[in-house]
Amino acid sequence: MNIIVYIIKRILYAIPVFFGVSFLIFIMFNIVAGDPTIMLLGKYATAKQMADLRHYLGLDKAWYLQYFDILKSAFTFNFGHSWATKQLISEMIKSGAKVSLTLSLPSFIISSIISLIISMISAFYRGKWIDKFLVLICVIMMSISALSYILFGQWILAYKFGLFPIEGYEYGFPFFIPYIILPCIIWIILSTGSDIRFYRTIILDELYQDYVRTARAKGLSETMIFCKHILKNAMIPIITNLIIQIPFLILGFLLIENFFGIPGLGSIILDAINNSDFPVIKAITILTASVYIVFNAITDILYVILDPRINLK
Amino acid sequence: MLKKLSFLLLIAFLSIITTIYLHKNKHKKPATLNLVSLHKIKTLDPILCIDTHSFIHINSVYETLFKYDPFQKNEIKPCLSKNLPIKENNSYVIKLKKGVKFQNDECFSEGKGRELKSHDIKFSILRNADPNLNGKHFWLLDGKIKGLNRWRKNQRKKNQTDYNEEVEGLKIIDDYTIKISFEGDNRQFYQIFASPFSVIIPKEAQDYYKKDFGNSPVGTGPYEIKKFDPQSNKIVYSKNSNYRDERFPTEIPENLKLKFKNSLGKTLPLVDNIIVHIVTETSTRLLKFKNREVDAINITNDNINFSLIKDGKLISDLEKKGIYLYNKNEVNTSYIGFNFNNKIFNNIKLRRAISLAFDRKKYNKLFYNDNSTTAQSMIPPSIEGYEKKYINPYCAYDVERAKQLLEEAGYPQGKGLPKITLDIRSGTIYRQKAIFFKECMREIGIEIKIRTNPFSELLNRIFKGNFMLFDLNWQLDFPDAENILQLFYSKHITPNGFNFTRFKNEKFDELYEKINLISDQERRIILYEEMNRILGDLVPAIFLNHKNHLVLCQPWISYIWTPFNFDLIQYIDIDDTIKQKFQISK
Repeated sequence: MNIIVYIIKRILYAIPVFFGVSFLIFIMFNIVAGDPTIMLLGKYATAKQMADLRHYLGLDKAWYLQYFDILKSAFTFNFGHSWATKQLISEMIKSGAKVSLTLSLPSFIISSIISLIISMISAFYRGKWIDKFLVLICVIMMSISALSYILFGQWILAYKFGLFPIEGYEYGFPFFIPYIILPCIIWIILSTGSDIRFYRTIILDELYQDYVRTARAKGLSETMIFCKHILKNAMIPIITNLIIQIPFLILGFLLIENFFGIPGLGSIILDAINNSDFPVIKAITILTASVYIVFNAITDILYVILDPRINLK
Repeated sequence: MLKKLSFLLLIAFLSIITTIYLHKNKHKKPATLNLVSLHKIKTLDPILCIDTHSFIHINSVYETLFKYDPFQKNEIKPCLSKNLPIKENNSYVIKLKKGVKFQNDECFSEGKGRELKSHDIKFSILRNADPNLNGKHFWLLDGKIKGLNRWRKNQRKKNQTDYNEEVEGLKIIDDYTIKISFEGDNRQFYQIFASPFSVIIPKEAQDYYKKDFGNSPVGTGPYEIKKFDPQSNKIVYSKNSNYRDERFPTEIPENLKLKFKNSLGKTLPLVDNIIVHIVTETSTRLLKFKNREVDAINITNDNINFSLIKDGKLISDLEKKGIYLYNKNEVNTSYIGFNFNNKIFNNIKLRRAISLAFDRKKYNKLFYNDNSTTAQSMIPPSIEGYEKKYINPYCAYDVERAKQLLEEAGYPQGKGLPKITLDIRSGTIYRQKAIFFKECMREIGIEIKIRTNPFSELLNRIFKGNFMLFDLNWQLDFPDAENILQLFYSKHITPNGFNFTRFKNEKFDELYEKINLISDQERRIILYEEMNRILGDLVPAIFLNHKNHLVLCQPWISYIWTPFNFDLIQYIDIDDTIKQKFQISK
């Protein structure tokens, strides 16, 4: 099969997935979720006002028309206005995603580099004390909850030692930098533990493949085998793992954003949930699902390109 | 090479950090009040906003015709109005203060704020009633102003609201005079136009900002917010340069004179710049306060409260730092309502048994650190009609009596009684409170099932009557007991009003209807007291408590809070000498 045909086929596969996701979102918010009008109108809501508001929000339309509205907004990326803040949702997402990325992107890059390096060291010295020590550290890092890191960071590093601001955020480069250093450190600590373990396992899997034995039989040095053969093959699942994380970077980290007062997409989602602001929740869910589907397709395509062993059929 | 590159990168990084700190310090102003909001502010559109914390911001930018005097309990005084108008044939002629200007804003010609005129009052009232804007406070005016409901009905048919259409009850006499006529006797006239929703806005702002109006407030108040972003983590205020010469009152109660001695007679607002930090996490808020980054923080009823306050006093650690606790009664009542549509709750002995089995003292200690007032009935303290001496026998904790009443009700040791469901809103603290209630009821043999709901779902359940018991808190909107007693008036049974329990009592209804016929305040208070006692005796709900307003303040600020004033930021002062002293010793 031609690669172009494969790409087209992969994109076509994404369409029913997208319909399925949007239908699920529709069921969740338009059918299962309760009537949001009373929350929006406040304690003095009357039945008449609630009916008026339901009509105004289009909640009294036939179900298929409501579903069509969701589909339309998903394809046009016009999600309308937030019920709570009356802002244009696309603008909210854009500004929130930008802020989230200022935190998530450096954290992702740094943590990926650190994880890769440490996992390689650990795999290279497999079974030795250095490997055991690194695995132990990873398990400890993974076992401690995010909240503990946040509270410790804010109390000790920010309040006691005054190394960082306790919380806050300033828009624009470079003013946001002091505010993201501590959250970044916590993000890195939180993600490296599991990443190191995962990458180490992948590398170790490769270590016991036939081609490694062949290379050893040919008399190649361990360093040569590790760097030239094992890493090259291990990179495919590692890259896949990295790419699949990218769509979630725009969402930020809900807990970190909330504690550090970072006005990113994570905190927008939390506010939307608290305010029963369904259009915002729907928009972010659709957007995340779409980006995820796209990146999933990209990963599959990259797989085919990077690894000729994978059959296009 | 790599080493050189790393070194260069390090230098670049350090330079950026230094630049930022230098930039920040360059822009630091000496007199900035740093406050904290516990919640994000959704909108600054007064007719769309429903949360009290947002009204503090709205009423710092906008103003009302009348306002509550912050230093005289529940007393109303003129604000934009020149005086308090006298009623004549159910009408009031309001004369506006001259020379009041809106803040400078690009919505006005040449960006200069124009003078407030009587047509602004008419527009603001109509805007509240505009069906195309789906305002949330029309209840305040519903059926009260002559012709307003008709106007609202007419606009519903139109695509665009016609604010020029005549309304019988809103007559502009001249630029500074407007006559408002009511359908009948309206004794809440002053309260309506002193309420935080009744702020005056210029039409130009709505026309110019359209959908973005809620983020671009343009008022006559002491402060202005240049650009508000609901997603931002702070709101920055600066003094409205067009604000008229208003002064801190010189005539204030003796007991407050010492606290405000430096503020008396000074021009308002007392502090020109304010930053309101939005910090939703309690622990973060406390750290910022301890670090002296913010001047005051509200204490919520969670673990932090318990770690800071012991026996109603601040822990010595904080007191040594000069920090003081501001503790005042709020005007609310928490209650667990029965559903009277459910036959089992028509049994008064059962209701009384449940009320007697609930340990309010322990509840107050466990969940409020003793910083709330145990309720005896519905009317909260500081509202006329509340009797300090009144002790409701059914609000005592008496398990034996409760068991006896339960037996008399036909359910000895709870036998024959179905499992009772208590609907609560989701959240750890609500669940813990519900578990406490469940344990209290288990003592007398009543089985309680707790059902948690997202808040919107809880309200929907209450609205539809799809519950057995519900846990709710009612915050008064104006200082009149009627506002809370309406919750038990039979003609207000939901969906016609807010009688969520569906309680009916002829005597209570009769007294409730009498309220509006009596103009003498003293006689009305007697009626309120009687109604409050009826509720206490008939137990249509389990009255829990009335919460307090607790604020931790830095030693250098003179903090003030009252339940119905939302414009109090302008009265808060900073003593720079004390601030410097404490910051040096930090």
